[in-house]
Amino acid sequence: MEKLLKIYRQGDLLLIEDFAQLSENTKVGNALVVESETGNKHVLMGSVHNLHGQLYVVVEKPTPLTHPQHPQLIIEPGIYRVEFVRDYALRRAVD
Amino acid sequence: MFCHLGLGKAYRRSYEFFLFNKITSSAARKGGFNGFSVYGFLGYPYRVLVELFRGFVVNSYRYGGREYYVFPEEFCDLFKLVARLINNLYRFYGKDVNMVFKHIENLLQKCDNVENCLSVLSEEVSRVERILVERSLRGRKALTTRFEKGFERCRSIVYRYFPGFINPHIHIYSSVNDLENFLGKLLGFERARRYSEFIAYHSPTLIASNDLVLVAREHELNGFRIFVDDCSETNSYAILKVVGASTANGYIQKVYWVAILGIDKYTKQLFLHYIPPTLLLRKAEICRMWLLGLVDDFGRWRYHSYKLVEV
Repeated sequence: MEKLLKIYRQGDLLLIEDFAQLSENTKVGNALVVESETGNKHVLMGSVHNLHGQLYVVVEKPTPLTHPQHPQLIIEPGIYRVEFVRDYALRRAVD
Repeated sequence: MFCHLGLGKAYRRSYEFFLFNKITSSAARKGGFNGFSVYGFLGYPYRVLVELFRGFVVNSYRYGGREYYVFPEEFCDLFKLVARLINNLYRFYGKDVNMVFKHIENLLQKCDNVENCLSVLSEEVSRVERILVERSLRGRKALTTRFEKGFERCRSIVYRYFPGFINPHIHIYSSVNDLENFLGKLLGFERARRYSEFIAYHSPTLIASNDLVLVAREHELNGFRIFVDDCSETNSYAILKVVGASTANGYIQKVYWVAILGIDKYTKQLFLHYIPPTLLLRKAEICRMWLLGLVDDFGRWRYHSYKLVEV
């Protein structure tokens, strides 16, 4: 059976399962903290990597993604690419 | 005067023609008489014409990757008609180049001489143009009906979640600086700067902050309407697919933009994101998937199998 790609969305923040080759050299932090338009923060504990300008987060065990205004999401273990909702007017993600 | 017809490599150097008072290649070097020249990228029909009227060629030369044939002045009218017919048939056959060539080739078989060819071609140009106008009107009417039905279907979502949509605030701006200042107060100056370029090109546009605001230049609102095409609602959001278009005689004339207007039920925040116009005829949910990056500009899925969990 084909493996399902895991994708999570909480508000404007998207986590898309990825298979990037990350190393200790690309690590930039131990928690993903993303401020949303309302000023509140999406928070996910896990090692954060920056590979060629793209953010990734590595989740080792089921971990909650929290935000004061959204229900929490339990993120399953894996490597995730950090993306944001797109807008054609901006020709890029809203971040 | 002489009509110089240059034929070259397909597409890039396909064809050009112009009037000039000499038959020599100095015409091509100077770009035609008083700069008048017509050029295009589907030159095959002109090759058929050259074969058909080879007896009228008064000179030929090569210049800049094209072979030029010099005809008497009256041939320019014939070439202009062919150029018009190529453009019309290109639309008529939905860019199917082979069909365009076949159509013109069949038509040129009816040509016995220049006068007769002119009348055959001008009749065909009128016929094709009439069909194109009728087809375009039918398309406008169908799109307008579709949007009217869309609004009826989504009426309850519009009134419940987006009451301001029916009668949005209007801000008239006079310059891009004025626009950036206004948007800066609503969205923050960084986003305002990035949005203003799109707005300046696609104005009038809708902006969502705490409320909906329609931004436009003076006189741009004449005939402009925002239509609702589709909608969707779940526990966490309600969305409308909206289309900004100008209308003429009650029908859609030109679509300016397509967007997803929504409300996040958790944060109670309105959002409005523009999507590519290629998604004009797609369902609201597919358009929402574009915002998430899960489909491409034509609504085709980017991932074969995935599990989307969202709140």
